Amino acid sequence: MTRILFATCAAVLAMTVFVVGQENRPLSPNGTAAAQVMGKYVKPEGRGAPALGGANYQGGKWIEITYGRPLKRGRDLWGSGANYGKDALVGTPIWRAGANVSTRLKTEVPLVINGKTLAPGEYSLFIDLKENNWTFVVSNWAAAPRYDPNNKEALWGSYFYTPDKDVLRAPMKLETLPHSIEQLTWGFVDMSDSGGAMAISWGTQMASVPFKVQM
Amino acid sequence: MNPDAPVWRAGANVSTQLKTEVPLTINGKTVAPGTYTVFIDLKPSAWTLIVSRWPAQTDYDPSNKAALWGAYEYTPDKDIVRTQMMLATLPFSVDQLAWEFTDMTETGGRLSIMWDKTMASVPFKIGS
Repeated sequence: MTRILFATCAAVLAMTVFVVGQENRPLSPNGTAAAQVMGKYVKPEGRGAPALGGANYQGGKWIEITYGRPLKRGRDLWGSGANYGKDALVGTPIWRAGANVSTRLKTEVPLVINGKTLAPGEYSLFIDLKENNWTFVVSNWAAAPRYDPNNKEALWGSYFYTPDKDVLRAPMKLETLPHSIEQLTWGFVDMSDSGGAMAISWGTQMASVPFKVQM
Repeated sequence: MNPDAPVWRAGANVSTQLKTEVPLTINGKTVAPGTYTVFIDLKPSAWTLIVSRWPAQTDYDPSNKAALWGAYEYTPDKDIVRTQMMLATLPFSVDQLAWEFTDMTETGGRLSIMWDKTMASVPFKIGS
């Protein structure tokens, strides 16, 4: 009985740190959102490339967000009033804006967000969740590849996040979608050569932050 | 979109695939649990979602006639379902093509594809 109880506790504990479903399939699969800037479309000789538009995009620089993609599964995502954001935070000081490992932004070009320049590199992304007031946070906190309470140099998700490594903060534009997105999605929207916006959508909530590419 | 591909692969590279552990009903037809390829027949203002039994190649192999790479040499003889998609215009432009499940409930939802300002979706029910 004790053994079963221990096994149950261990299982529950395991689920809280790394949620694994049937067949070892994570309940929140990994995802990436990518954009490319500063490249050129080059049409090869002859009948063209087997790509939309018949040309290849060459010399582009990548901007990429990697994250865990939780599913809504019928839940109320945000709550309201004193409980706003409480479920998404799961006791952490800030939202990881994803699942499992911290959400990461990798950029090969300098970006300008809210008047601040973000040098090429890799960062962690968080969102400070307040009702009708979301703040996008780019941090120098490293991401721990797995939950390790002894690792004080890197974060798992947003557990033990502190703001001292913030690179920038920016208010997000909140919009209500005409449909409900089941699986949390980061995406690049309204992209042009000079920039665009990073957008997160879950349920009917979309939140975005504009950025410029520094030429 | 491509002279050699009669329908759109609705993605890039390897064929887009739908894998389901439960039977789904789309446009009155049952899609039994399994893995299928998904294509879209693109006509102006009329997109048709196709669920096909064509297997997907994992790497392009022109000598493999038993499976498709993307939508190259697709034929409709292995179609299971064809259904008209609902087209909507988004208030923003999506840069990277995205398939999403939208408006999900216990009984079903919609399969949705978004690219640029176009969103196209089809409803499905869980169960046969």
